[in-house]
Amino acid sequence: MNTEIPEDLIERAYKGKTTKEDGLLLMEVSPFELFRFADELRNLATGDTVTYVVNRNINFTSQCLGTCGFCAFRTNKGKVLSLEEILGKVREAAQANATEVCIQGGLLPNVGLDFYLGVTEAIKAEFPEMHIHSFSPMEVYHAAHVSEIPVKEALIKLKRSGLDTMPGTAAEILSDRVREIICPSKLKTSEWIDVVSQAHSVGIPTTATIMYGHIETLEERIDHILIIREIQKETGGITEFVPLPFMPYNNPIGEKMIKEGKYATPGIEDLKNYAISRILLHGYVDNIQASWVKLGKKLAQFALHCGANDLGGTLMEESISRSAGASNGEVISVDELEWMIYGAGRVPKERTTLYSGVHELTSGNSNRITGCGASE
Amino acid sequence: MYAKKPTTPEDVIERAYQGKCTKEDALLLLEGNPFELFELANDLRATTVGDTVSYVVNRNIYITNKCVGNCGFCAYRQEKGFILSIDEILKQVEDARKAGAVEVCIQGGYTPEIDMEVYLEIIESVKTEFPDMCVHALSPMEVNYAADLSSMSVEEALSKLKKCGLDSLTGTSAEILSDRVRKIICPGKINTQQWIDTITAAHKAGISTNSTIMYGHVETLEERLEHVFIIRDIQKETGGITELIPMAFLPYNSPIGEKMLASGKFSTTGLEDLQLIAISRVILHTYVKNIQATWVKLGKKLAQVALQCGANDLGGTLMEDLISTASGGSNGEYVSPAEFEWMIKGAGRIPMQRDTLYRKIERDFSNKVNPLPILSKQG
Repeated sequence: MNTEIPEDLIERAYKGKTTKEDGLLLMEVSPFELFRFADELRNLATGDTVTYVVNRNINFTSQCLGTCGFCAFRTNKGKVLSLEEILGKVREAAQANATEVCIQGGLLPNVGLDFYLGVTEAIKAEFPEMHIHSFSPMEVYHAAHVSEIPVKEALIKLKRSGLDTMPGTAAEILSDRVREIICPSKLKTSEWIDVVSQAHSVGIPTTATIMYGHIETLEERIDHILIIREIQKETGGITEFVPLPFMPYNNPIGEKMIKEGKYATPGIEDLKNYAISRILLHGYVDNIQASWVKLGKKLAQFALHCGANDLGGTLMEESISRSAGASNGEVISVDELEWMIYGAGRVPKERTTLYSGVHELTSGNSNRITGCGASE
Repeated sequence: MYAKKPTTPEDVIERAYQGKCTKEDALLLLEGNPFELFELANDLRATTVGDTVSYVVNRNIYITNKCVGNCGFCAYRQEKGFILSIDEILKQVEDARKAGAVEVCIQGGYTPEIDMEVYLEIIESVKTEFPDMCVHALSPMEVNYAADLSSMSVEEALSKLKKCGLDSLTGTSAEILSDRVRKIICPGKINTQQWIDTITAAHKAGISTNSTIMYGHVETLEERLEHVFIIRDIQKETGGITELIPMAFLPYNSPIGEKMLASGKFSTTGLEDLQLIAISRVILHTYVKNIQATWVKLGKKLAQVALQCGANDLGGTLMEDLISTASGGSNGEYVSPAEFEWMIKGAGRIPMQRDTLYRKIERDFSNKVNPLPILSKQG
């Protein structure tokens, strides 16, 4: 194992020009070297501020036509929330001071774009200030097909109906080899890139995700991150990158892994993935999010020292990871997020979905001791 | 441009290697760059135990949840609880043996119904029926309370436990070894000196113990460090300590925890947990060889990271951990040997199954997945 990162690699990283070979080499250097370098780049990109968003997840149905082998959430006859029920949840979110609702669901047969437009229009009519961060590239692709219109037209209509941003989910691993195995009926790599790029072109920013730790190779992980960098070079529409470790419980891909003696990615591998993402995306995507739902609160906090600068959302409810064996809870309070951030020696700030309009939140925790911080 | 600039003074590192880390050194290391501390702890770990990472296939057995104690951090105690019969205990040991366990960890509350005679009978029965099973049982608190009930000295109680076959006494009920802290969180428990005396007496009676620290509540950073130095002092004198297990306090469902949460304080953060593991490795270097990262408290992922920060042991498969579950622990109650091996190999280390006394167990678990499918439930 190399203990040092080569000088020329460091130089390329500062210029945002790391290569695939650099990425693979970084997988081999000693983890602390890697983390320290990623932490340095994080400091350059975003400073000491660590952000989070007060939001709510709303999964409007578990019913899905998809056949993804990694999913533990899908059902054949799950309930579909009515518009009134969705609005009820948005109302609760507004009362809890959420600035964002993240609405996603399964793919329903014969449900076209009108359904999605109806949801955004109804929410915006009642809650014009609420940021709607909704519908995955797969959902948009599906809705456009059912309605027999081009994806771009669907995106323009969604934008007009009030959709603010889209989650960059359904990315999984952007490799058709991998997708053929884990999600054969999902949109292909080039289609995902198209939907996301077109969303950016019509003024809908997106996040970007990677779901790793199943059957993909390290090279495929690096390729995925570099695809995200290429999209960002072209559009600038990506707000953040969210690495998501695969949870191997209650789903066919995971059960097969466990039978072979393979389990969830160990903590070090998660942290390396954050660090490498920070390094490969330097100069292009400033925000790397550590997901407390997947990592657990303690590891998510430590990821702030390994390249991450955002802890994601308070969520209020979370069904998808939970059904795949996550046991880290469905909600986290602003106080606890700030506690974690102060404990890392950083400055907490509540953000909006777009990382703009970030304002300091007065939760009364600003005098917290930092560092190793034994409580007094 | 990024360049690695070590900031830890040379003499601090030298003293660490010699096993002479001072309190000032420890404070300085904690204030410095965490990665430098982790690297130092990782190097000391490699020097002491090499690349082997151990774990034990074991089972926790709770004799009772009744307790006359009044510890404010406890979420487990019940007024009208259960007390297991000898037969029920033997049944649980039998189940554990069938699942490949080499250790049973038998503990419970302390209550007037359970005196030394009861404990002696439990240990003797288990050892008679399962002579090969390592019995890691009872805390200094339980021994003190029961010895008093049975009107015998702690030394006498320990010598009888040894004769009955007790292999190892647990180093629990240590919490934080500071009488200031103990008055707040466990006023009814033995004090610091009594804990030290009991552990020392156990070692002198030929009974090994481990040691623990439960941190992240009302203690100061200095009190945490003093606790680790007390462990070092005991070990200098007796050499009877097998390991230190830092245990992060889980602040749910207990009065101390609820008070913390109400004042905006939560669980220790991941960084803080890793720093305590690392500084424990540094302070205890040349004295206590084994530092355990407990997945029940840390979660599996962070416990695996701790293997890079000074820890060399992942603890037990457990099968049931009622105490952490009652306090809001959400990391499950069972990890299979196959998953331990996955985590250890993922850290680039060599897995080794051990018994309570860190003796290697020659048994191949690598191809035996889920020996306890019924217990491997998730979520």
